[in-house]
Amino acid sequence: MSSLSTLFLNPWFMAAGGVLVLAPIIIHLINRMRYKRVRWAAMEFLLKAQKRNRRRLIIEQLILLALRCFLVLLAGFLVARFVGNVMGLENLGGNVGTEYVVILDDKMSMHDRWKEAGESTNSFDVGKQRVQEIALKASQATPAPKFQVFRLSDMSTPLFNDRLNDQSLSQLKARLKDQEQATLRHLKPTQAIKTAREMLAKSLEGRKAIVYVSDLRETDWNGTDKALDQELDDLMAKKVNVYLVDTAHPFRRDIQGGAPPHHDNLAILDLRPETRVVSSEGQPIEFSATIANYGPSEKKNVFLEVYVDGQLRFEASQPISSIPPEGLTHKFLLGFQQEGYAQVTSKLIADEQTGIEEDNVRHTMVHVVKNIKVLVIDGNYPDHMKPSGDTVPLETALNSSKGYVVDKFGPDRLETPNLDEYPSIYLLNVPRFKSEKGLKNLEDYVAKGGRVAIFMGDKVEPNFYNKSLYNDGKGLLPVPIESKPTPKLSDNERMDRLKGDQFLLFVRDYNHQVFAGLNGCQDALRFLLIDQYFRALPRSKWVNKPGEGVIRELATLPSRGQLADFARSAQDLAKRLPTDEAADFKYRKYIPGLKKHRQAIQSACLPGNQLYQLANAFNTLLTDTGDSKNAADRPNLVDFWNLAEPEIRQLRTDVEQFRDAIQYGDPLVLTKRFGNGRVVLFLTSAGRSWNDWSGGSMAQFTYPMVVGDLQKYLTATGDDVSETLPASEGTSDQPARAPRSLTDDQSHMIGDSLEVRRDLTRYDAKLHRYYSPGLPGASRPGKAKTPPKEGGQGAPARDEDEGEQQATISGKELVFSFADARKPGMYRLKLFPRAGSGDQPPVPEELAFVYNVDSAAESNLRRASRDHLEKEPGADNPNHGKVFLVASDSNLDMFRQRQADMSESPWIYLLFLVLLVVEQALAVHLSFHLKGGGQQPALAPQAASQTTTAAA
Amino acid sequence: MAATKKEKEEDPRRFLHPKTIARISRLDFRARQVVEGYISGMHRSPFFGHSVEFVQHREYVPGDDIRHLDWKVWSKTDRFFIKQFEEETNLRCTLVVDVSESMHYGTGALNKYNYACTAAACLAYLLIKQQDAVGCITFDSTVRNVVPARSQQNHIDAIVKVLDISRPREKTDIEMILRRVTESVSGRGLVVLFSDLLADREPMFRGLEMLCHRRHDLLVFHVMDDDELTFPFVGSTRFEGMEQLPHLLCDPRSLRDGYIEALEEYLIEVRRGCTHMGIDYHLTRTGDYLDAVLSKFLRHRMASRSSTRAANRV
Repeated sequence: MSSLSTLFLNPWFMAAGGVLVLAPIIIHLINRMRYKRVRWAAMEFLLKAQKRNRRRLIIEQLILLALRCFLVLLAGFLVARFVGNVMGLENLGGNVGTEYVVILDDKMSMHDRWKEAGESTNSFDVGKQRVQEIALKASQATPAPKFQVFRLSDMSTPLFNDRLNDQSLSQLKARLKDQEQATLRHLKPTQAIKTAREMLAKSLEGRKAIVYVSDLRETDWNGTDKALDQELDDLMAKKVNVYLVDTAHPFRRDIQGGAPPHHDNLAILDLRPETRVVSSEGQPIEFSATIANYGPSEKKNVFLEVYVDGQLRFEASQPISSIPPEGLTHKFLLGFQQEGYAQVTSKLIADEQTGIEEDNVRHTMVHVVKNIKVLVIDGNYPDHMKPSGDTVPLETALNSSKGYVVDKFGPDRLETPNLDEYPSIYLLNVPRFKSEKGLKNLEDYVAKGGRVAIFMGDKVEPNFYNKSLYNDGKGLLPVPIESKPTPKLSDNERMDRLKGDQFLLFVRDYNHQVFAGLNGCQDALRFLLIDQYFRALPRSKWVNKPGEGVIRELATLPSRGQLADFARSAQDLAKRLPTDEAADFKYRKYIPGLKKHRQAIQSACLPGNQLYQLANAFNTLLTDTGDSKNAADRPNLVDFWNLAEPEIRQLRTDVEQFRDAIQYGDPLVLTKRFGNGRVVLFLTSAGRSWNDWSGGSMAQFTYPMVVGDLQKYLTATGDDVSETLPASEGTSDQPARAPRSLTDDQSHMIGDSLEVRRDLTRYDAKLHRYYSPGLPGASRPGKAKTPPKEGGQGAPARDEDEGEQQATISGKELVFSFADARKPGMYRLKLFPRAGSGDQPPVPEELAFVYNVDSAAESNLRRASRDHLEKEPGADNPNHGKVFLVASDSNLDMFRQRQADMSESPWIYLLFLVLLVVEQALAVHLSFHLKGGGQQPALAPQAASQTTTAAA
Repeated sequence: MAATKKEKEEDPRRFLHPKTIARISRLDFRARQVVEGYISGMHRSPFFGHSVEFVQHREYVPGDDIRHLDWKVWSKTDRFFIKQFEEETNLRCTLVVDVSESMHYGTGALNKYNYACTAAACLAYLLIKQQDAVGCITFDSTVRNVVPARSQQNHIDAIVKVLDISRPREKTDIEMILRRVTESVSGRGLVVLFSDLLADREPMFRGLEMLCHRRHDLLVFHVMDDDELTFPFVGSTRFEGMEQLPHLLCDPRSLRDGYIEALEEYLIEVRRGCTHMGIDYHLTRTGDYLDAVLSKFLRHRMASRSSTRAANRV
């Protein structure tokens, strides 16, 4: 019967029809049983007739019987509405039913809420409603379609998988009702659509369709995702229709083109401390909250609440007067007294009637310790504590910040494990590592998220550094170095440099954390003389170039080129400045200033001047803000350089590049991303052996500032603040990122998975897990973690006990996998070391991780335009599927696909008519019907005529 | 309408329709009605006194019809002589009636047997009325009954009686019968055969040829039922053959054309065969009016008398 139901819209009629096909045969047999008896005299003729026509009669009667049976069968096909897809009959009727794969988007943006008739609703609720409406419409199709419903976050477990009928519709409704809310994950549609395509490829149904019920945000549907486009093209080529059902508010109208309006939304994109390890005795640390305003106008009257372990910290909670559309970074200070992992939560309080509420909360954490351990590896060890060495000034600078404990060792310390106990490591004038093991330990440490600062010195062995630490760009060292340091400056050289009005060190980015503290006291760098340093090999020999995202130049020494080498080029460049009143009329208001700077440049090119003076002239040209009170004579040239004209933009680029070329010389401070960690390389010494930074110069006050900032950078979280945040690439079936190591405390996104590995012999194979929501009253009641903390008010955060977790064994390691983070907050893991040889019972080891929503990917509620959503097949593929956009007021009758069947084809009726005519003709031929209106034909005249006898 | 109905009621031919005839159960009455009706429906028959030629005188014997006395001869001779006309010559007619089983078939008012008997009785009545000698032989597989030719008025009773009692039961062996007829009928005469001729053709033709060879004047009334000629049957029918022929269950409509074709071949063959032998052949339906039979017979009589006179002159 199931096969009949796939071939016929009314299968039971065909079952009856199949029986009725036998009717002509049965009637024939009954007729043969029911007969009249006639005693017949002229039997001779009857027998002769029967003998002559026996074969023909049998054939003709069989043909007639077959025709009648076929007519009954054909009538049965018509009544039963044949839709079979058999050998070309596809075009006579329709295909069998439709199979729908419905994907209900449940990513974080579906939490976009609004009020409707006083009731709060969101895109996910609308999505559930739309699924039901579509199912109801589709259930009216014949035959009943197959319907599978999945959540985008879980394409392996269908919420519903059945043919649609009244009973299954009720089940669908109940299951959708159970889906209370969307997830807090960032999910992309590509993988889910691919999975749906693979499901439909196995389907036997004639028509297939994918229904994607979503808020269709621009971040997902902006036309730049080539993989998504390819999936849609593949589906269209396979004649699968894709229906994109928009659930976002304000509801899209069917006639609406472009992108419909979207809700404004505030979101905290990032919250990070300046350092992840904090001393309980140290100074308060600064937190940066990056707030985005996804709206056209500034948002006012916004308040930022700050909680530490669920307790509101008034000193950090502040109003934010205005958040412009481009967003802002809000900073606040927090101090910590209690040791352990402290969860810091910021929450935006704004009068938001719409948008996503969940992205107004952001978590981070700091590890509060009594003293922050710093590992210093000094190449002069054990003679490292000489005042003229490198360790003493460094330690002094660190101690000025309080809370640091400096462990000082020689290079051998790198050979031993457990570098992880140090948030940061300094290598000071280390000649080489003892063995490969030490190098591997250090590389592993950095790769897992650790940070290392390397300072040079006279003991440094360049060959080792180039071969092992640089390793053709694959090692820790950002750049290769020359085989020997620069020669020490002579006294005259020192004097010449000091008395010149030039910067002796250029900070390339004052926003970088390492040198952020120098912002405002740049002039001190005119006195920071670097006597000796290791010169990096020419940039052309670097494997990784700045700007590629791997290494960055943080500070550069001035160029030591000769003015004569650049004078001609400078003058040529200066001549390109638009100074002709007639020819450069549109720039006339800038001409006075440009003329002056041109003259200045030409003056700087005169023999006897220094290259830095020329560089200064170009710097001044680029940064001259003029005099607003005397704009005619001193226009603001910054505006000039910001003009959009292509020739000005090109000129600016050329001027800046020339300026850089004549201003910047050898790099001094570089940083490199290595795995999850960072390496900061100072190509000079930490102490006074190669420079007077730590003492003996007017710039020495900057040394502890830089060291303090350096230390904070080395213990900071995430990427460098000045870099853009990495986009998350979450999918429904695969984690957004690769599993991370223990020491990487960057903010994880909901849905990420983690692995914790421990030595099998040293730890129990179980751990205990706790969850802390970070906000008071935000979680289920659970066991209280600790008594309320000092300096805070409100109900303490309550850790939720998530129970024990067993490890799996991989080689000699215990592996704890954690992929269950579905709520933002902090997750603590308590590991249990095995009892050692000592008397002291082992202390449980605690780890913590913070999970946040992926606001950067989900908080922008801008919606995709119709052009990016709908797709039509090409003119040469008219039969391909389409991508339809189903707006809120779209007619859903498209889902009530009434299957065309054979009875709708005119050819069938023509065939029926022809067969009827043939049957009637054959019946007449076989004399089943009387000819000539029912008159029986008379006997042939010659046989019945009178005759006269011939004359005898 | 009333006049038409009255005319119909007074129409003497009303007795000639088989349906009407069939209501008269006694064969002799039936024959009388037919003949009287036939005669009264026509102007006076030329047979009776007008076109019948005087042939010779015969001395009067008691019992002769005094209407035929030749008074002129008496005036001259004072002796009584009877005029003899042509029909008063010694016509010996033998009615040979097939009473085999196949003659029992008929779906109309009269089956073939009744029709043949009625026709034969009518002819006998007519001939006896004309003082011709009429005999009758009924047969099936054998000669069933023989009535010698007599011309007495009451001879019709004997003929009718024989026809009445000869119920069809056996198949026909027509050659043998016709040979017997040939042997039994002495002298030249008229033999009128009433049969459905549903027998083998060759033996039948041989039998007829024997009769022709004996210089008998043959008149064949081929009696067939309307159904046998038109085959109007519909629906599944089991035809049970008479005279030991096999049965056949068939759809008669599918065989109708073939049956008609075979029947036509048979009728043509019979007609040709009779024509070839100079036999006056008439296909007679059981639905035909009986005056047709009488008319055919009378026409035959006129034609044969003309030929005889022509031969005598020579």
